[in-house]
Amino acid sequence: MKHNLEIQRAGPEHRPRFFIATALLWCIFILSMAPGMLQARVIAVLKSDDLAAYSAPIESFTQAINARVVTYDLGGDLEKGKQIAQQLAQVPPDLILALGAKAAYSARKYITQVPVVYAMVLNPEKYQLTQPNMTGITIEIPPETVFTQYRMFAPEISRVGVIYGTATEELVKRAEKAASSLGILLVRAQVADPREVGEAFDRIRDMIDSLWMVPDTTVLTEETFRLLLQKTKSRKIPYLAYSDNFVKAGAFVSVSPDYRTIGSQAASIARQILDDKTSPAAIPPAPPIGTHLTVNLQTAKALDLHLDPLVMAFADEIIGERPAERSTHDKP
Amino acid sequence: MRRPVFAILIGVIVPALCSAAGATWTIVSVPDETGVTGKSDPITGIQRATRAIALKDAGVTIATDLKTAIPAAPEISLFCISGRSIKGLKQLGLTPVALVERGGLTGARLVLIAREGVALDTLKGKRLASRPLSADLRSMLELEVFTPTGLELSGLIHVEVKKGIDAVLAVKTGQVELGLVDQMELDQTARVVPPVAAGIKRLQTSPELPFAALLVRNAQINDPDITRLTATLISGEVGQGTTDRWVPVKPE
Repeated sequence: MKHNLEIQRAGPEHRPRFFIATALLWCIFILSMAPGMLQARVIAVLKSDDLAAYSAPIESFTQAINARVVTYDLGGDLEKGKQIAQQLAQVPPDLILALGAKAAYSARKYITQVPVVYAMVLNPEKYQLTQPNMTGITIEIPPETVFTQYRMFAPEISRVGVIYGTATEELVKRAEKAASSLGILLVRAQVADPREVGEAFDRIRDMIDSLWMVPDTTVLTEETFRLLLQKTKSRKIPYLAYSDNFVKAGAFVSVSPDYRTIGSQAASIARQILDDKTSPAAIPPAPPIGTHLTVNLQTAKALDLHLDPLVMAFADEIIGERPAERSTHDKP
Repeated sequence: MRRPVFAILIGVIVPALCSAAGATWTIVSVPDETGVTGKSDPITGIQRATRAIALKDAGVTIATDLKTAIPAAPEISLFCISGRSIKGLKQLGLTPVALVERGGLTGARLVLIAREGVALDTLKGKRLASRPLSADLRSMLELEVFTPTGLELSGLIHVEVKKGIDAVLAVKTGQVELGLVDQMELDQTARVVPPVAAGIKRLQTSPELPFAALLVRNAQINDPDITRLTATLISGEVGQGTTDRWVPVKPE
């Protein structure tokens, strides 16, 4: 209103000059704001090593997020991780995605002001990835998901044996509850040493119709895996694994995290932080959503298991079918 | 879940047939771009990568964007397309002439799911797990599935998963609030593991997305050609295992 009054007072001959001045002021204002407005978000991806397993999540993360993504490779070297993290602390990106334990640990130790999303870290609690600027995706698939998928491939299972040590005691307790919700009874046998594994199996063998493998070094060595594989096969019961490597070596089925989905899931967390302004501290670490299902058809045949052809559509990888059926886990 | 096989079927058998019959038309196949189908086929277990190679080796043009592919290749008169809304294809000048039927169904439907007892108005802007969605499919879903529920697909945080069962289990375990899954996958999960489906509520179902459709441009191919073609497709090794029959599409 004040401007209009001045224009009226100044008369029509001064109006063009006033408008030019105003336009110039607006141009200066917009240009001063432009760098901040136009600059794309920058996300730094820290990967622990140059492993093929990290390619899939980086690719899906980059596709799902609207930002410039710059990848840094620690090359398995914590000292290099320190250097990169310190460099990132100096010129902070908008967010850091840390893949693998070394990357997550380096981010935790040297970066406190930038939001960090970690993924593909075994035992994240061991590295204390609990700073307020950190959240992530854990590696453990919810037991309910695992048992549901086992059930799909082996609908008859109802008494699942598990041999475990102290490291997986909590996991087994959670699994017991989840299995129960699906009508499955978990038959437990705890051991303190791999040498006890054979005897533990013999103790529960008449009570079970399948054996579930847990990631526990007290139980699992190459020797004990071979022993349990032989024992389950001789009793014609499925050996349910957590990694496709065991299925390739003869176990019946495995449910493991899908790396590509981990990238997409990490992007959804990044969007919560960057777009919705949610603090990482308010986003609890979440288990992986996607699964990679591997089935060994030769083992199924040896165990006389009938596989529903429609259920087989859920398998991502089929071992022992035909030469062309190679893994796509590393090359999604 | 089954349609990729039809893409192979079309990719391998049809070119041979066309060649044998002295036909001059070429086929454009748009494989599995909707994200509705499964990654591996239940019968053959053929993986996505293998399919693409087989189609390319067979000399089939694979288009990922029909809107671009159709005007760019006016010489092509026959199309095999999976997982598309027929309505959308009519707008592109194509006429559907036959659909694959299997188990009494000619197409799949996507179902929007959430946990039982969750109020719809609390789901705005939440996480949705589904297989990848093409731009065309997103538009259709926005109108036909999300708008009727009062939700906006574009406003949701999308987590892409590889299989429908991952989305079902993510909803069930509370990892995401919404899932969009193939109805057949959901029914299959419910059949094999009933407790999983017990806590899942079906909010809205999409219109049918055909498994595989043969479409012609400007009706350049006559009925006997189509009949001969579909009969040969079914008699092939893959066709026998995957297709009950090709159903003619009645003109409107």
